[in-house]
Amino acid sequence: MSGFTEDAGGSGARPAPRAAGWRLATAAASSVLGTAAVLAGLMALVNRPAWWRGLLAAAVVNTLAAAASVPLLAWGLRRGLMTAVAGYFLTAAARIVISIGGGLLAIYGGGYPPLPTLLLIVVFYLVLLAAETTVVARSIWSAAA
Amino acid sequence: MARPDDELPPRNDDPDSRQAQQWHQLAGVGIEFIVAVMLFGAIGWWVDGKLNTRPWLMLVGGLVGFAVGLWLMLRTAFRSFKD
Repeated sequence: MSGFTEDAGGSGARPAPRAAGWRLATAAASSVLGTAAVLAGLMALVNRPAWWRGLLAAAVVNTLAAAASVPLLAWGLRRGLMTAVAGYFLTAAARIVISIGGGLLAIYGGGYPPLPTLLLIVVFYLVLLAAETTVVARSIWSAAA
Repeated sequence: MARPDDELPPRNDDPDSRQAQQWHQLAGVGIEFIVAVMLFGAIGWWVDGKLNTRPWLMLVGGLVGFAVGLWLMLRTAFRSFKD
């Protein structure tokens, strides 16, 4: 991971621009909405009620995960390279706790179907991960260059 | 006969390839984490089915997977900060 810090020289050589926070929020919101739309299309074809319920639970859980991770990531990006990387690792842990914890709560507390809920949470999780990672990697690169 | 330098793979110093490398390294952290949790959780789920103890072993498996994922993430983080 030398590419992250080789130009940083401490706790952050040059902070990423403020716009990175907005890019992050937009990317996260787009990923949630886009994934929900694509999965809803697939659910319409499959037409199984259990999967619709799973999609609802997964969308809610993933929205919570995105809402928790975006502010932390945006804060890290504004403070500098090292903080951005540290924030990324923190949000990785927070995202998975919310995703898995929320999924289990929905299944055992809300009675949502286990397999669709967990599988769709993983799909949402991976898309959100890709969206956030893209913005963070671009911001780190542009700050380090 | 080729010179030794010709036998080395070309260095990718262009911005796009470095950015792609960073993306790959960052995304790997999140992917390792969820794979660890889901893998251990699935093993727990399967053993739960055999022993009729659902959902306790799945929860234990998920916690073990979380610990493994956390360990992998911390290892990557310390390496990145060391570099």
